[in-house]
Formats: sequence, C-alpha cells, structure tokens
Amino acid sequence: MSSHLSDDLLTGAVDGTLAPVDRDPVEAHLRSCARCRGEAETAARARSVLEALPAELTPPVNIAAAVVTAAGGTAPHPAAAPRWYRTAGLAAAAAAIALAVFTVPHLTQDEGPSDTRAAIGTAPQEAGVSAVGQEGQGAFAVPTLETVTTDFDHGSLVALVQERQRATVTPSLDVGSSIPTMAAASPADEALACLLAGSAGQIVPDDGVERLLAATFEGTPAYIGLVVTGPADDAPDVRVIAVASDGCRLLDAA
Amino acid sequence: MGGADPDDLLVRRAADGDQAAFTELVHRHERRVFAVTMRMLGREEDALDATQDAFLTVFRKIGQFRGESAFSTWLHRIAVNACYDILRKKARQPALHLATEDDRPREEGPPVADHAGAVAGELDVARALREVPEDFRAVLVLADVHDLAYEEIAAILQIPTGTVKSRLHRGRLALARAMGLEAAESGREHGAAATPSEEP
Repeated sequence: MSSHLSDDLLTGAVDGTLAPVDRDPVEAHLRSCARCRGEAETAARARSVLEALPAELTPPVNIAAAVVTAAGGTAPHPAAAPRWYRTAGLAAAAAAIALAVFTVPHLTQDEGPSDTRAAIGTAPQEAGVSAVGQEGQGAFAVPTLETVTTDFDHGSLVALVQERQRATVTPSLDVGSSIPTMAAASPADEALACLLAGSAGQIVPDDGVERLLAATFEGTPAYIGLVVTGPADDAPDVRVIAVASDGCRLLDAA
Repeated sequence: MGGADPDDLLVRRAADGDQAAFTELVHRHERRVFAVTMRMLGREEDALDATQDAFLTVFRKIGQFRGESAFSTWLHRIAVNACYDILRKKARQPALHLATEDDRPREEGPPVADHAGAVAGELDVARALREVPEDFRAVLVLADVHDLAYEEIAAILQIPTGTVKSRLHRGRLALARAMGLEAAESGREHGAAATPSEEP
C-alpha cells in the first residue's frame, strides 16, 4: 500500500464498504497512520452531520399544481384543450404547447409579482383557472425559430422593434411546421417557453410572439422574441425581449 | 426496468398523456427532489425554481424516457442538472438587471411541517454546503443526505463509481472544513478538495 490511503479507500473505510480484499490492509494502515486516521475521522464527522438532515422536505408550494398550471392544465385529450388549440388543429399537441404558454406571466400582468414561481405557488388554483380560461385571442402560436449569427445589443433590439413598427403586413405564423408533442418539444417551443419563463411578465399568453430568434446577446447565447400586442395591423405595440437560452434569464428588453 | 421500477406504470401512463399519472409522479417524488435542490442551492426560492424546472422537464421529456435506468435515477439527474443550470445562471448574472426579479420582498408562508425542524444547525450545514465545490456537493447530498448507493449516484451523475467515492471523500473534508469539524489528526493538505479535476 502506498504511503497514504486514496480518497476512495478512505470513503470505503468511513462507510464500511471496503472490498474484502482491501479491508485488512486499510485497517492496518489506519492504525498506523495518524494522518489518514484523522482524515477518516473528519470525513465521518461530516457524514454524521449530513445524515442528520431530512431526506425529504415538503415544498412550501404545491409543485404538482404549479407544474400542471405551467403546462396549461395539460390537455392531452382534445375535449379538454383550450379552444385555440383545437382551432389551430393542434389539439393532440396541446400539452407541449401549453407548456410554452406559461400561465404565470399571465398572472403577473395585473399584479406584477416579481417572481413568477412565487406567483404560481401562492395561487395555484387561480392560475389553473386562468390557464384554461385563456381561450381568447388565438394570437399565441409558435413561430419558426430563426437561427441567426447576429450578436445583438440593446441598440439592435430597438432597431428590431422599429423595423417591425414600420411594417404594416400582418404576420403569418408558421404554426404547422413545428407541431410539438409532449414527448419532444420542438426548438421553437423550447425557445418560446424560455422567453415566457424569463420575461417576468413582459410576455403574457395573450401576446403574439411573432418572431423567435436564436442568436447571441452581447456574446451570451440568447432567444430573442419579437412580441406584438394590440391590433397587429394598426399601430401595434412591439416589444423585443432577449433571454439567455441557457437558463432563460432576462437579458434585455426594448 | 423489467417491472422492478415502482414508478413504471405511472411513467408509462404519463408518457401517454395521462395527467393524473403525471401528477401522482410529482406527488411521489417532489419532497425528495425539493430536498436535493435545497441542499444543492441553499435558498428556498432557487430550490423551488429548480424543482419546478425539473418536473417541467420530466413533463416534456417523459415520452423519451426509455426505462434504461429507474425513473427516480432519471429524475435525480434532471433535478441535479436543474440545480447546475441555476448555479451557472447565478455565476454569470447579466449586467442588466431589470427590476422584475428578486427585488421585491418575498412573502414567506409559515413553515411547513417538515421545515419545523429546520433549526440553526441546519442553516449552518446549508451555509457550509455552499462552500463545497458543486461537483462534490452533488455527491455529498446524494450519498449522505439521501443515502443513495455509489452505483446509483454514478448513474445519476454519469461518472465512474470510483469518482463518486473520491468526490465523496473530498466533499466530506470540504464540508468538515467549512464547519470547523476537522479532527486534530487530520493534517493532510487537502487543497485538492477544491479541484474536481484531480480525480481518477
């Protein structure tokens, strides 16, 4: 045996999980080596501290309700799907789209709680009702995710807004090209869900996300969503939101 | 899986779009997942974020789950990854911070039953855990708090079993150091405890 025990043997000694072949030599070493003995003792103390912690903690919010709410009430069956799914012919995919239609930002639009998940947690039932009640505008569909090499900054986000404001054509949404399923959400769905999650209420399910870009924002891989609210062909309110594609944190808005 | 996984039936039903089955899976596992995320992240709101992210991921991907490992193994992996995502996100907070997040005082509800025992000692441990390098922390939490076998941890983290054991030892030493629990004889220089790269 080398001069000191390896880390994995020390773990085996502390946990009593040494292979039979190692047991005697390791124990002999521990008897003679104060340093390894001290390490084993230290590790055992840490283990005791951690073992005293409960292995289960009840979340202070109803996670199941929150997730189901965030999933828009999960509507795997057409009869349960909000109307706009059915009219879009996407009833079978409602569950995955509903995921993208994060109900939480909807909750935030009036009250503006800062933390979307806190909002879920404090009012899961109301959120659930809101989720299924979102039938209205039919504006919220999944555009194609455009991958571009542009590295955006605030100025170029503003330019995107201005460009859209100048346009008068009502956008046509390419819904059919990215029919998501519960099993495998498309990149566009992921991007949309990320935008909704990260937008902290700046995008709500009533909004139309007209364009989805996969790009970078000041070097950070980002999803950029162009959101149009109000009448699409008459002085629409245009906003651009950038969230980090990894983690969905809000990066900028214009 | 071969029927040995107690979650097998629920998983298959959930994959077929059965919401009740999915909800039952959440109920069955949420307390363990929340405990993992709490130990990994230390802050309740982060742990809730990670827990919710994890179950949303499960929801989205359950149809892809092939049962090559137990559902709980897969779920733990997703939960740990959700924690890593949040830790990464926090490590590189964007310069722009719109006044929409974290600025508002949070309404804390009364402690839930399981939290009643959350005494000062637990807070000390939580604080010390945050000083343990993340890769060691994950092993530490799964092994010593959740009492999972080395092999299962290896499957969750997708690392060799030997690496699990060495990280566990280094993680324990790091935690003990953070809590001032080192034994008098423990004189070995364990600066390596902070460098996960030095592993088998």
